Amino acid sequence: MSQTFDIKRFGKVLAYDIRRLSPRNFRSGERTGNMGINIISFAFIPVVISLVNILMGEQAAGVPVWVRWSMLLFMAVIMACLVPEVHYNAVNQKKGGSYYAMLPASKLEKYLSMLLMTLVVCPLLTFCGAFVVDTLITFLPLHVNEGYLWQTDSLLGHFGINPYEGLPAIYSVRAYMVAIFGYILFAMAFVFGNTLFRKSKTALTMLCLFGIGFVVSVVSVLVTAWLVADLGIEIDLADRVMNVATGSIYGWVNNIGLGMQVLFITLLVYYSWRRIKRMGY
Amino acid sequence: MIEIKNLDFSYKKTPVFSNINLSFPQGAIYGLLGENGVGKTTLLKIICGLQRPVNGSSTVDGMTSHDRLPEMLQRIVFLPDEVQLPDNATPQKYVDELSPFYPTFSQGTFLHLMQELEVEPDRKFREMSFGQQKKSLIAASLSLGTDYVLLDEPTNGLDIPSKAQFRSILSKIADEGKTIIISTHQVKDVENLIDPIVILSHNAVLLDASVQKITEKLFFEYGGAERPDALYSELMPAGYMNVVPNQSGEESQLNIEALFNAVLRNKERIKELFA
Repeated sequence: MSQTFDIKRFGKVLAYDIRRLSPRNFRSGERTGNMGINIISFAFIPVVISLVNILMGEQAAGVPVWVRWSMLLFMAVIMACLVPEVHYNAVNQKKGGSYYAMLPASKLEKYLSMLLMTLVVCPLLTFCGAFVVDTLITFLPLHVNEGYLWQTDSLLGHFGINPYEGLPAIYSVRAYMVAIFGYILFAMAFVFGNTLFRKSKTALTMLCLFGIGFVVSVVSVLVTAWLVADLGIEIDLADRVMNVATGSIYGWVNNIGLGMQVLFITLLVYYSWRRIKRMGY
Repeated sequence: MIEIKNLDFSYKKTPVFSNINLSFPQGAIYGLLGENGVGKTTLLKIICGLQRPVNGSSTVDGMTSHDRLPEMLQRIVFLPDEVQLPDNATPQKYVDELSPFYPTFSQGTFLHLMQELEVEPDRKFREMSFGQQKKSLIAASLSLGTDYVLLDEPTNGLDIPSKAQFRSILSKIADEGKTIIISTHQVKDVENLIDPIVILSHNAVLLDASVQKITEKLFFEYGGAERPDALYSELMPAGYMNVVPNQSGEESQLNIEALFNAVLRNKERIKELFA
């Protein structure tokens, strides 16, 4: 049996991590709460949306499908940001961390289970829970929702991530890739933050992301100003789509953006893995 | 076998161990003694891979501890002094979570130990006293069936009858060929149980010897007058208890507290005696 990765053992670690979602496993010494309770609470957010809609007296129109989809996806992303601190807070804690570190599974199996729980399992459970709750609300004769979540033709258009309609399929694929990699990058920042900070991990990671976002925005504005003013390059946002198709500067910027996402994801995966591998308790 | 070779360890700039060598062959109950802060818990953590040595190595059956390979982790269990327990869980649920990872786990042993230690396996941890929680964890750890059991201050919180039960359980387990390492301040609780004895000091191992070797080299004299050549003397109700070098080869009853004090006060002399 491999000492680095064994699928059966990995299954045991994942099952152990999933079982820990149960509120029964909450440890009173932990300040971070319980992930299972978070998932259940988030799954009931469609009820809150419906109540707000009723209170605003707008139930006649009902909440549009795309708005609810946006909420569900947003919740899933928020969940991915919370999982590292809430469910894996102990990874760099002296007291609680040793218990998990001593489980007879490899460091890689534990790390992969953490990634799977953060990126897929918990967000998916939240999404599915909220989907079911939303469907039940729509089914009830309250008329607070416009229709069932699956009754939609063009979600991507609403989300503004598919400006490539009418172009070859590769551009739609790229739109999906940008969205998925963006999500992974965002969630991985919190996985790394969880190994880096000892307290208030989510809040500190968020602050760092705001800081980085601010710096990137300032640099982007300066670069754009330099392109327009000094080099005289004409930026025509309306023509963006065709420029992508013809491989103009915008297409390149898009490709560089995608490449940067992949690069940063790789760096975050590498450094969070390195920190977990070398962690002492 | 657990082997520690040329081990250096420090917390940032505070050195804890400097070039120490130790080995723990299988089938004994080792007592790890030392003053506060000499690194008893740290040594246990290094052995089970929770801390990485600066230099040197710690291996368990030839596997480097800090790699924490699954095979090594299946052979070793570490029970720290304090454990964060899930409030609503019971000892039974606790072992149910752990048991899939340990092929040697025995539910029968767990229930037997829980019965012997008089704790209910289906009672919630939050409804238990600290001592009962500790007993549950001891039963859970021992039922995993690992070859090596590392216990940090295991008798903390145990009442007097439980300490006796604890000693009896450990003796039986050691008879099965398991290796147990106990780190403790409460030497009276483990007297007549631990053998060999390891005494740690700042940066070094002061003593690593079996009880037989200790009583060969040192004589524990009870009830006499204070002796000027004593490595350690203590006034007791029946007179002085002296620890002196054993020059006659006579056998005596080991007193761990007195041994500990004698070793700490005569570090160089003890090294010479046991060299």
